Formats: sequence, C-alpha cells, structure tokens
Amino acid sequence: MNTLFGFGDSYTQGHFLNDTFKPFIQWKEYIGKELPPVWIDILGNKLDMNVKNYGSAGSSNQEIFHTFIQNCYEIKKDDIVIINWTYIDRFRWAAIPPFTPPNTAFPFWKKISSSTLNDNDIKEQTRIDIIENRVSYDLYIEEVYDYQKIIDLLSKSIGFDVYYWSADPLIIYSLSKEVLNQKKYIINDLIIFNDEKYIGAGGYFFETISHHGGKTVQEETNYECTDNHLGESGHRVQSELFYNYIKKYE
Amino acid sequence: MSKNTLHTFGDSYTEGQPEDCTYPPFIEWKKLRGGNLPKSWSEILGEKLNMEVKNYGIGGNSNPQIFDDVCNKSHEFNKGDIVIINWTYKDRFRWAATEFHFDGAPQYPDENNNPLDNWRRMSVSNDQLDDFKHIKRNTKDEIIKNRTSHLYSDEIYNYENLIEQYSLSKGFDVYFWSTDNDIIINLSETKLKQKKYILNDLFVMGKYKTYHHAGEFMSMFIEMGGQTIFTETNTIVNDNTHFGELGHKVQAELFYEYIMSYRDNSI
Repeated sequence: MNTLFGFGDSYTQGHFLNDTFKPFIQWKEYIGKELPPVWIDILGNKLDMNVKNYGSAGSSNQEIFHTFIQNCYEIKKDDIVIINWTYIDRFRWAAIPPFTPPNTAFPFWKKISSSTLNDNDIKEQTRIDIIENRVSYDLYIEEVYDYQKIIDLLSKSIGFDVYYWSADPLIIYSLSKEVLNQKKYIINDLIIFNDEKYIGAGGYFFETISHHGGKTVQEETNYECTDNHLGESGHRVQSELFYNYIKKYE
Repeated sequence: MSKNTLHTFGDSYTEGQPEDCTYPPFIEWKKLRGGNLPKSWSEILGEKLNMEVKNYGIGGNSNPQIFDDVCNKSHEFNKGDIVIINWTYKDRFRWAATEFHFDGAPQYPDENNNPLDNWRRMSVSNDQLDDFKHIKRNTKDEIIKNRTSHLYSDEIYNYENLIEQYSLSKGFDVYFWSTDNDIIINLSETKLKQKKYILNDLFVMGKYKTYHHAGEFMSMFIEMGGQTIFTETNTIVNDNTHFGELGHKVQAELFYEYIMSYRDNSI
C-alpha cells in the first residue's frame, strides 16, 4: 500500500494531536463525542493509502520544509505528498539556554509569529524587525518557491506526486494564472479570488472551501466555540475537493 | 558525448578570484602578477576530472543562500556529474533589502532601472556599516547570537539529507566541506567518516591550528603546502584569508585524489 504524506501547520495537523488546545476541548464538549476526522485521514481512506501526517500547529515555512527533508527518505514511488505552506510572518528561532519552558533538556526550535507574546527567548524588537522584514519583501515568498524546485525534482526522480497549497493568500495564490495553473497546485482550478463574501482568516484557499459548503468550527457551533479552523464539514469538503483533483490527474 | 559537469557552491573560498573581480586585494594581486590571476581550485579540479565547471560560489554567502543556490540550480545536475558544496560560517545570514548607491541609483535595477529587492549578506563583521541602513544593530547582534546554537548546524545536515536523496535518485555525486569549525569537522568520527565529507580521511580535528582565518579544514591545506595570498606575495597584498595560487592547487589536488579514490572503487 502506498502512503499519503502531509506536511504543514495546524490546517494539516488537524485537531486530534492537540487535546490541550482550548477551542478543540470546547468543541469536543459541544458536540458531545469524539472530534470528526481530519481531511488527510478522509482522503487517505478514499485513496486507499496509509497516512503519515507530519503537520504541526504554528509551524513556519522553514520548519515545514525541514520536516519534509527529515522525512523524505520515507517517500517512495507512487506515494503522494501534500504540502501546506503557512503564513509568511512565521519563523523559527533557536531557544538558547536556559531553556524555557523549564525542564527542557535540549535546545529546540521555537515557533514565532505576529501573535507571539512576551517570549523570553527573543527580544520583542528583534521579533518585530524580523516579522516586518518577512512581510515587506516578496523574497521570502520566492524562498518557498525555491524549496519547491528541489522537492519537484526529487518527486520526478523518485516517482512520487507532490501537491502544494497555502493558508497564506500571498503564497501560490498571488502567482500569475499561467504559473498557478500547474498540476502541483492542488485545486488551482477552483480557487476563488477577491470575493469579499468569503473573506476568512485563511485567505483564498479557505474561501474556496467555504464556497463549496465547508464550514469552520465557529460556524458549525453557532460561534459557541471561537475557532476558525475547519469543522467537520470543512474537513469533508477539503478532502473531497482534493480527491477529485488528484483522481482527475491519475 | 557531452562532458559531465562539476558544480560548485559556497562562499569566497569557492568563488575564487574571477578575472572581473572588484575585491580590492584581488585587484592589487592581479596588478602585481602582471594582469592575470591564477586558476581557482574548482577550475583546476574540473580540468583534472575532464569536466565542465559551473562555479556558483559567491563571496560573503550565508548557508541559507548557498542552499537556495543549490535549489535554483538543481535542475542542471545530471547523472555522472559532481556537486561540491562548501558551507560557510554559521553566523552569516541574509536579510531582505532594497539597496541604492550613494548617488541614489538602485544597486540592483530591473530593465527599467527600478530597484529590485535583494538578499543582503550579513555577518558578524561590523565593518559593513551599510548593514545598519537595513537592520538595527541590536537585531543583527541578536540574530547572530542565536545562530551560534547547534540547531543551525543541524539545519545544514538537514539540507544535506535532501541533496543526498536527490543525488541518489538522480545519480550524481555530492561532497560537502565547511570553513566553520562547528559544521562537519566537529562531527563524531562515525558521522564524519562518510564518503560525502570530502577529505574526511585526511582531516584530524585539533591537528591544524596554525592558520586561523578560515577554520581548521582550510588550515589543513596550509599544512599541506598551500599559502595565502598574503604569504605568497611576500606580505605585499593584504589578504591573509584567501588562498594564493599554491593554495588553490593543493586544494584541487587533494580533492581530486579523494574523488578519484571513490570513482576507482566504483569501477
């Protein structure tokens, strides 16, 4: 059996691996049962493939790429890899001794973003300067396309399929139509641009999911759970759109 | 049948001394030599291997930039080619900027003379006062301090994993070396003794400490008879960091012998 690999942020990790995230606990209480399956599990099931989900909430694009590298030796011919790029402001920062949180024995990469508050490992001004540099220059977006170049070549030489999508509207969805219209950009044929009706935290990709009936956790719970990740219908719609797209190219 | 290619990536230690270089010590050196500069190690090695040479080394490059250069040129690698990657000092990083000359003209213009964004090369050196037009001093210092973490060395080994996977599937050979004592040469013996680490059989940590400017790996070439430009020109040209003619020759010869020892074994 071949394997479906997922790399990305919380939109790929889903809600099973994070029982400590308050909105997911609230959501579980609200529906009174186990949380529904994540899009990648539904997709793996439909494609009859094993699933290896390396998504990790809060990851930066650097971290997503490095997670891919660390695990690329597992990828074999006819496997499928789906990479979800994240918001450009995010970056990783080496935590240096004394490590926080307490009791951490080894150095580790901290996930830093616009919403990181009072982190002891990085000065606030440094965090602001790095983020400002990252959001002010397209070079950081081009860096992601450079990562794609070598991943594409690896996929070609090993013989696996690779698809990309992004939670950040500036990555992939700001490409010209000719460039966007490539097989590797999953559901590129469905993406909705500039429709104010569907403005959401995730940008164009999630507007497209919404357009096809996929809702967020907050929409599904009548805003009792304040979380903008996809809910049950969102994950179902995402997996269906991905499945149809992949099958079209099979 | 077309020749295979030797692709080299890295910093100034790989770039060598192109004929059109603008680096003042190289200009002085060229003048002293009567208008010519000697071949760099990659050119000598390419000739010995009977391969075309594509040298993508750039002075002042950071490791993220070197890896990015590899990504950008990876479509050019073919079966039977050789790729040699020289990692640089860990403290170096790149910072997005738009730069202008003193007269206000863009440093990197497009065809309509509009400024293009570019990656500015940052390092521990505070001689580059222009750095502070683009980044606050404290921010630069904190980034450099953060980069001393060994996580940034691990990041390099991660890059290597991907390049190796690609080399295996595509059928080219890849070799790595570094000018930073905290990358490759400080690995445990089991990890260091891998084919991909060029000259790992010759290198002994702590043995070559006479030449301090570019780490112990480069010092090894001095021990083997290589000289810097400074020494080679009898201290006339003030560059005790980069290699002179003999240094490049020694490096090329040792690399050649190492590569051939594996090529011979595979026949």
